[in-house]
Amino acid sequence: MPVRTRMQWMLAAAAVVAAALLPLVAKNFILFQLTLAMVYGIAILGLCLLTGINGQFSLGHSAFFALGAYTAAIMMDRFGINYLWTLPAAGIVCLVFGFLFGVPALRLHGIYLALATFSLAVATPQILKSTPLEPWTGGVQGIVILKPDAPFGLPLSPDQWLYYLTLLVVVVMFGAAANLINGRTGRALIAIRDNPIAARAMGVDISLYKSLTFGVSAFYTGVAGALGAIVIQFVAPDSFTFSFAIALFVGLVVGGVGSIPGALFGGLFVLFVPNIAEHFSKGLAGAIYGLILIVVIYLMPSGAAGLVKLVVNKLTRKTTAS
Amino acid sequence: MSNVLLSARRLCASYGATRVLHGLDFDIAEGGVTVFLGANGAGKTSTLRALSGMIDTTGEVTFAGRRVDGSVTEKLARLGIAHVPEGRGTFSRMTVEENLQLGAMSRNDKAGIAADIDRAYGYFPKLRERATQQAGTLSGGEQQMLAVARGLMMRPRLMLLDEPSFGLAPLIVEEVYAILRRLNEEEGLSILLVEQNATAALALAGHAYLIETGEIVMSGPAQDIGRDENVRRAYLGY
Amino acid sequence: MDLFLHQVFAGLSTGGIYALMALAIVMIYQAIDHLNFAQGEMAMFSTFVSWQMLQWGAPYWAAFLLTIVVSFIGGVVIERVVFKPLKAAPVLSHVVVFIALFAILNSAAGFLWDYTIKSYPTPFGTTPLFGGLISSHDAGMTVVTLVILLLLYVFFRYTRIGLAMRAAAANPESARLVGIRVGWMIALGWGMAAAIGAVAGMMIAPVVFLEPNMMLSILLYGFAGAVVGGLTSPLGAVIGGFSVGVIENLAGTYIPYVGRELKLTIALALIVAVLTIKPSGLFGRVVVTRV
Repeated sequence: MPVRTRMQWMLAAAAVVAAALLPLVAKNFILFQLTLAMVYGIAILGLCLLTGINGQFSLGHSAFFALGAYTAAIMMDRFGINYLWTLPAAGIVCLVFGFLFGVPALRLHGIYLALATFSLAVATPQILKSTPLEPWTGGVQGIVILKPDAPFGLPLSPDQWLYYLTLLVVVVMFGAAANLINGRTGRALIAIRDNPIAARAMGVDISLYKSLTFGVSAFYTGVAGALGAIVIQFVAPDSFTFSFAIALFVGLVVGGVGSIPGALFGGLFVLFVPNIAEHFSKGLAGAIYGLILIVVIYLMPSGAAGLVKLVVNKLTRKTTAS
Repeated sequence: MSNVLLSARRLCASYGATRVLHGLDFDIAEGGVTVFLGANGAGKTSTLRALSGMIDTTGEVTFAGRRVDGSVTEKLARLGIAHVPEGRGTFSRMTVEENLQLGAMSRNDKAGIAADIDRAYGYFPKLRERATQQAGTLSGGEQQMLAVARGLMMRPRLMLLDEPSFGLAPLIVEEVYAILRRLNEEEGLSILLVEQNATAALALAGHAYLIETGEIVMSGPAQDIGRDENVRRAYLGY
Repeated sequence: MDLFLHQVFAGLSTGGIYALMALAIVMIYQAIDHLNFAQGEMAMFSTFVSWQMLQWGAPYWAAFLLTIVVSFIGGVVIERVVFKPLKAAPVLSHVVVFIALFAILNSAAGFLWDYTIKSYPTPFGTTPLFGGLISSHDAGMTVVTLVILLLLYVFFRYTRIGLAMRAAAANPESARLVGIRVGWMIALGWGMAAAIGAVAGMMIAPVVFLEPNMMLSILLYGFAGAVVGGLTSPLGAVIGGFSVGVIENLAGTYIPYVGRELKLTIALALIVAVLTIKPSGLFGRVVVTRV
């Protein structure tokens, strides 16, 4: 394995260890926020797989997040199923819907695809509020969930337990994503993005891969949604408006499109920056947020990951020159 | 000894981190035809793009007595450098006549422009027939002629041509070169052209440079270059 | 049949709003190859500016024209200051800046003029015409839309600068090679889009009332109209806008379960349907890329 990748795995391992030690020093509320940031990070990772690797552009992932969240909520509240089962269930439900959405979405490119997915995001709260679905979704009021306790009587507060659970899910899913990218499937996906015509000429079944990517991407965001529902203990239609879809997208770009670790940075950004903006000025919170966005894009046009790559390049070039 | 219209000293150019031209020195004579020969990837197109401010360059470029290195493409065009690019660069969705009008975009003399359009049709009668046709529907040879005509509309002092024979049948290449000869001899148009097809170019040019991997390896009167053993074998096929 | 006709005309009158918005969107898309998500907010902000002038006692048409000029300049300035430095940034980063612009304009408008709903005057009055099928304002708005369309057509087809703009959008590199200052052409496109947006806002505000969030759904419908018409055709955008208005209204009237909220969803669903059948929109140019 080349030095760079080995270094990356070591850094990742160190980060995980540091994260695991955090609950020893951090208060419950901070853990709650970091858990949420990780949840958003997983959601953004789903978007990252779609946009960064396959070149498809989605502004509608809030829909899959909502779908995952409601799947979990309904399973727990209406059927009394243990929360741990809701994660894979939410993932699979979203995988199927994502794949199905991907089939017609294939015919659209770029800006048209963005609009179609945006429509999905806009439609979602309205569908969730609609009368036919009310018995399941609880309509405008939504559904309340109980926060689960740590299993096996472990000496952890619910917040600490959820933090560790989410951390575990992050490690598993991010690891799986990295494996996917570096493997044959990943190479096919990148080929499709860079030159669809050549890929087709080489026998890659483009339609299948594109729809599958959509499905996998939805899977990730769906699992995140389920986790989010458990962490926040509440789902309601207005939590999943198109503003959320846009926030996820912003998180993706700020973290670095196509960067797996960048997704976590994006998650932190989505969680904390709007709060910072409000801190500065309640009345102009939106304007401050916008200004922060512009400054961030100016400083890191390719996201945090791009900036890191730039710095690393500069440093390694120095060492080879000397 | 004619004047030097354009000269380059220590011209380097890069695409991002990749350097493609490594310190070129050359002079383009006023009223003459100069050719850059070289194989694929030698740096011929990059040289023209460097002269048109389309890529990052270092070094000195002097045009008509003033330093122009670092200028943007539009400014160089307005100074009188007409670049007929690789692939012709026609505005394919616009009509032939609109393409010609676009060539005159930096000029203000309405009457002069109208007269020049007429003159262009005089050189290229086929274009007059297709004046209202979409440029993208023209054949390769006609598009090449349209590209040259558009360049003419700029009333340039120097015309840069990137592989004008590319993808054209030999008879069409002859036609195009005949027109270039006319323009040079009758209008005094200075021409710098870049070619893989050495035969036609050497017949037209006065001076020739040979480029290999971003460096000039040979320079001299076109006839001499054409008679050189190595050049003959590598570029002229005999 | 009477109800149907009524709903069609009601749809046409809201459609007029969408058509005007769609026109501004297509205008900027032609210039910069991006969808400007902040278009609605720019229009809203311009409308507030004109409202402020009216509050200061300016006569309607003076405020109208002055706002158009100010918006034009604003559009040019935004392009030169905010977007020009981003030339090298990836596409998605541009989209984030559009989003940022949206947030800034929306928040600033709320801060400067607060969120209470204000009424905005119309120069055309609200007399019902043709036996109550449309109001004089709707008719006036439609006339304005058509006039702008005509002016754009003349501009692009018959003026030198219009030709230069078209060239700069179609093939920026070749445009530079003939001496066109492509950067300024883009700025000009922004200015024009901002001006058209301002007109749209000032025509729409009398109907939907002036408040910072007034353009949200209209922007969406405008996008829908522009996309249905094909993003490369101003005429298509206008027809698309009118169609979206009619479809939305008919769907609301004749399909069960469709209350006010789901109307938007239905409209968007139909748009997606159109796109799956004809991806480049009804009037759009199909770009055939040769392999």
